[in-house]
Amino acid sequence: MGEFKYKGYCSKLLRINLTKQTSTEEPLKELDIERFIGGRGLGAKILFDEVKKGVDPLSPENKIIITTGPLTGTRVPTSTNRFIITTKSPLTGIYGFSVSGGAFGLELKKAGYDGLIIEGKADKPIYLQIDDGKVYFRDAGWLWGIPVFEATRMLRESLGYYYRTIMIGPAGEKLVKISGIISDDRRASARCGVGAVMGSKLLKAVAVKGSREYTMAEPSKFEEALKEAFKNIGLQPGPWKEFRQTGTQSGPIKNNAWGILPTANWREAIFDKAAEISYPLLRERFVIKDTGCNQCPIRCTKVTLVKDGPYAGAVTDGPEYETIYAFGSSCKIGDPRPIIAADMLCDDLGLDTISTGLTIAWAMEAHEKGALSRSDLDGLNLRFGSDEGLLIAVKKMAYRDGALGRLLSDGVREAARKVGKGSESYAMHVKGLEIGGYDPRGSKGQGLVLAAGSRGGCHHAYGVASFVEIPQGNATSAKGKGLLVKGTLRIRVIIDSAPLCAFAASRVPPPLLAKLISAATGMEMQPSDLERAADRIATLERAYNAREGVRREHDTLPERLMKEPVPDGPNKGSVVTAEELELMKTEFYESMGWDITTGVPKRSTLEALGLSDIASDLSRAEVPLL
Amino acid sequence: MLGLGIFTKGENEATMDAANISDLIERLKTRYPLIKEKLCDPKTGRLYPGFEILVNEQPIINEEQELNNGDIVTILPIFAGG
Repeated sequence: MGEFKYKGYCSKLLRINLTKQTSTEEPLKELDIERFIGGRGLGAKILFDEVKKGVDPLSPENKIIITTGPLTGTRVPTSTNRFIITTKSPLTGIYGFSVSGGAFGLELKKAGYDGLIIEGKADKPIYLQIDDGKVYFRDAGWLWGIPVFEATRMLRESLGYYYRTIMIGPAGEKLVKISGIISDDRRASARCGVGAVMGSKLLKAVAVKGSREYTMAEPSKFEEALKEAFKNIGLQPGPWKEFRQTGTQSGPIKNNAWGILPTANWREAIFDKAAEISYPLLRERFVIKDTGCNQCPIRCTKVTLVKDGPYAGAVTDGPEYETIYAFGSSCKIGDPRPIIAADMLCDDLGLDTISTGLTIAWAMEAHEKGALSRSDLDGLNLRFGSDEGLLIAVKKMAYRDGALGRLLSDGVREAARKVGKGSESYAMHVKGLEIGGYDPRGSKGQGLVLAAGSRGGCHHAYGVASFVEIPQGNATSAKGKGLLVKGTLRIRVIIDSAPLCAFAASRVPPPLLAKLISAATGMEMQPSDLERAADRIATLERAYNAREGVRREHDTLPERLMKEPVPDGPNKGSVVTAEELELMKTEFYESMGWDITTGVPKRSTLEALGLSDIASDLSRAEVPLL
Repeated sequence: MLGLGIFTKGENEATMDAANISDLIERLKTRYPLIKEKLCDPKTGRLYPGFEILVNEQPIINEEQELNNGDIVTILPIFAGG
């Protein structure tokens, strides 16, 4: 085997078989890098190749794939603190991935690996210790059952604090399908139930330490491009300097002003207490520190502390906007204190805040409508506007405890399916994933993002169309949104693969990113190459879902958003009509080269993108390819 | 005023006299009360953070930046969430 052609990568993957307790180094394929760059793209390719149609996500045949990208380990602002976890989601049954910040990804690269592929299942709880290429399978019986904060402290005290860790909490151990994976610096890989996949393998944690230096192809060209990136981020007047003040906590007042703040389980889109759960009040009363991922100059994280009342002592990195929406406006809770406490508890127990908050909001509405009784909720009086029982409900969900825990632990789709009584009509998910907090009834392109997104109803995978269409002033029109979402998708896929944080994306646009990747790796890359790679990766993700049976008709929205008009505010009376959604989907599929009847990538598109191998696989899997 | 149409009675452009950016924002708040009500901090009266303000397509230095005859000021909301 010749030397790996490109710098900036470790040129190795580490395959870990938990059943056999073996670890094997495998070469990173140059063709995979040339086609998929790294990060999200690389994770998608490995998942497509190795987790075939019909695999049970909680079986040993599913895999946890953890990847970084070519810019991990460089001084590109925010690049060094992203890593991607890819798996088949137990929550949705389709493609799943979760992006996280924090130090783990960098340490993995320093240990010598561009990615980990974890397969099989241990015969008892273990954790993995990876130390500069040496891999140990360690007993985790002493950690199992212990929440994340304490278990992380115990593990790092035992191994040494140079180790960086990711870990599941009790929720992952109990295979709760809305569980996530939490890093030692309290960053969450939360979406898609990735925690349950790790729990199904009896894998409590991965601890990694490394000392490998980054190798770069063209250092002086890289430095020149890097200067431009630093100049753009945070060092000049503009909204990004202010972002350090606000983080994402100005989301509620902004979205409320534009009438797209999901409220009362998305029944409404305006919350009269939006200001009370938003910057600047959060900053005045609760923020004690500005911090951020390692080596990031933006410092978007706001550490908040509750100083008084029944939640005194609750402290969290956050809450971020999505958490505030999920536990705040969605539940009509206008007091930051229980929201901060819920955020902390979700991190400690290893739960996705969006899925947990939205599922509780659904339960509040179901209770209000009589679809759920107090005894269904173990006596808790869950209702809109009240935090009574909120934290108890979160804890029960993490532990599958009681009737409430058993009902709500696997997310809103499963809960509504069990209860029926019309509650499916207000279960706010797409393909099983609880949806991100921008109301498409006032931001139509966002409806396409939720409906067609590769991991279900998330606000990340295809970008956030609201961020573009609202400033453009045409958010309430469906026209042209297929192309708009293609644009937001491209940016998001590129930055997830480079990797780069979404909050830096506007300051490191594709032309600059292409220069950075080219100089770092020696792989000649133009902005058009990045766009093509993004189309390729998005099409690969779509191919994975098509192989699992996803078709055009599955790209839809919760009934509420299509049939219940917004009751007040600037978007009063608005829904996303079926006609609008179909218009956006058709335009989007056409722009992506996917069959407009089925939503499946066309054979000609796959071939044009250099994915003939994928086309062959889809044919063998009897996916209809036009 | 890109994307602010719901606060400005659908008007995406306005012509007015103002000495500097700060003065311009005050005049906008007067002409369009919803800007004051929805987009400004009630304690300070200032626009909430997260608006890109450009003069002739260049980012402003600060809100005391003086304006000249014929200057085109663009106010654009920046959204970021997570």
